[in-house]
Amino acid sequence: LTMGRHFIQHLGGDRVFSCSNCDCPLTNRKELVSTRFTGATGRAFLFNRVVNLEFSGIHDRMMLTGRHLVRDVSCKKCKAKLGWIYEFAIEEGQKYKEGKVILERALINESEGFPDPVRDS
Amino acid sequence: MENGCLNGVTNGNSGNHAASTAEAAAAAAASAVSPPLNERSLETVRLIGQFLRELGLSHSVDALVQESGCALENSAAASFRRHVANGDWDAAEECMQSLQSLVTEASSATEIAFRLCEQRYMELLEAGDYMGALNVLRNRLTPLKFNTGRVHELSTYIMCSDAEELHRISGWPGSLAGTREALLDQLQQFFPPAVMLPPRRLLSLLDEAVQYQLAKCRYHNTDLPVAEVSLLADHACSRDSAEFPARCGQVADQHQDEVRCCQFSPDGRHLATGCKDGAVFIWRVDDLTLRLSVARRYHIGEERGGVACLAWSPDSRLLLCCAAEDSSDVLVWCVSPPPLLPPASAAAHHHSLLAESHLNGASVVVNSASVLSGGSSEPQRFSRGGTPEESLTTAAWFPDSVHFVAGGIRGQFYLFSLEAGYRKSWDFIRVVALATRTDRDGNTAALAADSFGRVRQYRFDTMQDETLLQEDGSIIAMCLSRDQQVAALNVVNSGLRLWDLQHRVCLQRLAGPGISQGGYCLHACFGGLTGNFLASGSQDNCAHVWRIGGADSQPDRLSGHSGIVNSVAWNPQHHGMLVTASDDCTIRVWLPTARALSAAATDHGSGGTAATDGSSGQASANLASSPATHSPSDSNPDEDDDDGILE
Repeated sequence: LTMGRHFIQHLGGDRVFSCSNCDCPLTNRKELVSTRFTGATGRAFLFNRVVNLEFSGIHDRMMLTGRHLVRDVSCKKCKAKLGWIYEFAIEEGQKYKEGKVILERALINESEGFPDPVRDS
Repeated sequence: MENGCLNGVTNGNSGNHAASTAEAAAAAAASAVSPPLNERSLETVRLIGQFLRELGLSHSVDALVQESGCALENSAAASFRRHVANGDWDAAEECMQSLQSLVTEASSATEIAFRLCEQRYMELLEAGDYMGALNVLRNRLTPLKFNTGRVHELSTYIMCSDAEELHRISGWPGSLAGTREALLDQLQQFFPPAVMLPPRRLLSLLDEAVQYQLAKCRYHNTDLPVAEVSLLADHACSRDSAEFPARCGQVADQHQDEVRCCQFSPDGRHLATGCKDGAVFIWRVDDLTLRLSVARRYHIGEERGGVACLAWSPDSRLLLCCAAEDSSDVLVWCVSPPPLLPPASAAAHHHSLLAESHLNGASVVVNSASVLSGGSSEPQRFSRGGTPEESLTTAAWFPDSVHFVAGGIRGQFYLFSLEAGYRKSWDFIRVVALATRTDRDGNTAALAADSFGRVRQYRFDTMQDETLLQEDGSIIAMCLSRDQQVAALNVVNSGLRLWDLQHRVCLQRLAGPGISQGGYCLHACFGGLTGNFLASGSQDNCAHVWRIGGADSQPDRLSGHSGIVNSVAWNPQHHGMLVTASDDCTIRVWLPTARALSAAATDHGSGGTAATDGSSGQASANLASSPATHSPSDSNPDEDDDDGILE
């Protein structure tokens, strides 16, 4: 698959989450919304903003919390599966998830980042 | 033949309006032309009259004035002009009495009188009439009580013994050197144009029109002086006749994988290309044909993810290379030895060291003195010697060709020097792209685009930093114009943005659907004779070329590649030569049409790859056939004997 060099974004932050397979940066603690989710491999986290993802087609899935339209997300760099993104929630009470991303805990690692010396000094 | 009438005043000198409209009416009535000339026509007649008079065609001027019934200028002003030109200073001053009311600002009347007397004084001195000069100084200049400093200065010139000394000491070139005409040109500024036209008015309007056309010319890449542009039709270079790189003149397919970067050396004699498989080729540019031929082959190793960044030192001798995947070091090759050859003993030492490294088969880190003074294919490696988690993926040289900065998205941002290696670090900056910029005082700062969409300036000597601009999206790539005043940023989903670095404003947004939506690292490059073009790689397999500041912000598209164009390079010395590097494993050389066609002709002769396409905006069908006929690169007769050894 010949493609040019993909641009890798980095959100920075004090605690950085990256792909456990290739260490590609994904998001950080500041973007974490909730840790109380469950994915295929176990515990999963809900984040506001995640970068460097590739998206699958839309799937209509029945989850613990109800019916949702989701896309699976994978690492842009190594294509490893990471979780999913909520496109649409059927039930009103679940609408807050729309646009947010679930990353499964086992598929990502957390590492030490650093604060931005320009803004957070 | 002036009939003492003045055409309408249109320049805001309201006090004279009543007088001049009456005169205008009289002029219109006296005119032989019917229907009478309107405002614009009268003004044009005046400009033409001035032009003819400045050429010395006085009969034509008289005929023009009579037939149109339009005086070239206010009659008092005309008399004033005549008197000054003839040196009739008293008469000139008398004329000033009647002109006084027409002066734009009341206070200028004194200055005008002063300047007249000044010229008169200098001319008297020049002629040796000291008594006359003193008289002017005492009885005319001094009572004006204007610019007493200058009056003092003037009084010292009396001590000059002759005209030649006077000219030398005062800097006044003399009455024969057109100083009276120069004086008139200066005095004109005190009067509204309706009274006295600015000198050479028609010619300056025509020059402005030409400059406007040149600025709008889409393909203009030549040094045509304004005075040589024909007025007979609007100037517009055609794509094929201009010095614009419109056509592909060479397709070079020596690389085996996606070509990611390309950079010309500042002296325009070499091109460096970097590949996904880790190969770095140095190409020589033939001075006459602008043909590329491989001169060196370097390799950085396959596990590094390919070449991410290539940077030539400003003296065109050294090439710096950064790898794409989290490499904690950068490599520097010496492509050309320095002009002063090292003494024989050092050279011998270098040769023996090199021989040793080949015998051992291990990669030896050769000390800088020997590597960077010879044309060795061993690169020198620069790193902080830190952990393998470090990542240096971009770099930029300082003007001294000794220091450089390197950085990456993991937060490393280091200053290196060739002699001492790692020097300094700037902590916690996630660097996406680097450049250096020297200000007017000669201080060089590093410019870093970071992961937060900012471009900031870092002075490693004073350890001061400041933010120059903040983009509203992530910055993918950055390049600076030749004069370092403009930065072109490739911003995610926004295309290219041009920023003025001095004033910190966004100048222009260049839309490019293939430029930033796909999230690929696509590089751009400024170029052209005056640096007024910007070329960029694109996802749509074309290179896009914009004329900056042109009326039209649609790019010209150079098509021909069969894969994403990752990078472009514009030759800084041969302004019509553009190179594109693509995922289709080739690089293409784009030249002005005439050169490209003759280059293709020689290509056919030697059985190499021919390029016969590349016309504006249309992908050509015959491209697919040309790569199939490539000659084996090793038999290229242009290759250097001094072939770099593959690691």
